[in-house]
Amino acid sequence: MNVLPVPDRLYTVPIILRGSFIWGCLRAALALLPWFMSGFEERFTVAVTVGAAAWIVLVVAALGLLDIRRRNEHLLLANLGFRQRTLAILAGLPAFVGEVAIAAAWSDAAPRG
Amino acid sequence: MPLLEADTIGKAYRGRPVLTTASLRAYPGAVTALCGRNGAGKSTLLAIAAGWRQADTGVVRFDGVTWVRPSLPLLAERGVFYLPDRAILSPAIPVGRQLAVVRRRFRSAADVGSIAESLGIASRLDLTPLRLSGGETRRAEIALACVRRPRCLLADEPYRGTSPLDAEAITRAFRGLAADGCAIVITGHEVEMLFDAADSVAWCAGGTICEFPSVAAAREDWRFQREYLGEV
Repeated sequence: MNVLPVPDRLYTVPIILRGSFIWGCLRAALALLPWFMSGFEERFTVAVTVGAAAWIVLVVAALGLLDIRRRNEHLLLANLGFRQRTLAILAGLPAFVGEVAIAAAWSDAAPRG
Repeated sequence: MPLLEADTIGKAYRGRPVLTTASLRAYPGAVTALCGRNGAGKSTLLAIAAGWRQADTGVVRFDGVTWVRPSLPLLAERGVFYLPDRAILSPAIPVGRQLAVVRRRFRSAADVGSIAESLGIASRLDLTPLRLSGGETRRAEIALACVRRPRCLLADEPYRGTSPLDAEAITRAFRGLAADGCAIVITGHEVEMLFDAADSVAWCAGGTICEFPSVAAAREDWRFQREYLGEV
């Protein structure tokens, strides 16, 4: 049997794209809402603490998994031998890469804690 | 000897017992019809046997290995295919491409075209499931199982929403899989369709299972007649 670590790209690419979209929306909300609420007085920043970044990755993975379940793709993928945790990792992958990239780019501006 | 056995399964929902000591067996090369009234626990038992739901008590044995907490992905790698009573095809991806993925995943030698032809969905392979009727979607899902060529197929309500002619095609597909040695369990309420396909009958009632070695034996059982078929 062909043992693949991840599902076929027919399913993997949409899962990653949807994970990217969820992360983008979540990140935009987290960055813009406090800025709007402060009346544009606070300095705009997308930097967050390491702990908050980890939570963002977890939330995106959970929302991505919920979206996979909403589309019933989890049943077919389970029949293909893929576990839910594999799907959650795939859904959370864009968030992880994005958070690492943001941390690297905004390392000077990131708050400590 | 059964290939798959869900042994003395117990399951309760919010304290209400649905199954108490239900045992389901699937034999290689045979089709078993799992019958029962609404709410008897057929779908629950099938989902537990497939590793999709967890039982409160009991174990699942597949190919000689005992699983206390089976999972569908692990059983699927070993040859189980589970068709639940709801859609499993991704709604946005054309049916033909999803069939091709299953074929690639398991390096199946199955001919997607001829399977689709036999199930009457050959002209629908380029469409997404959103554009198929309920009956076509169900046949496309059965085509998935045929492409997979599983060692054990557990199909919950495979005849749901299908016309008599389409049901014949589904029955032929099941018989073809069984002829290749697949152990099959099917459920549903379309008694005549189920019995046409089945070699044996498992009757789910009172939280347990009563097994009949043949369809004829089930038909002749007075309790089965009275309490399930509704015949006096």
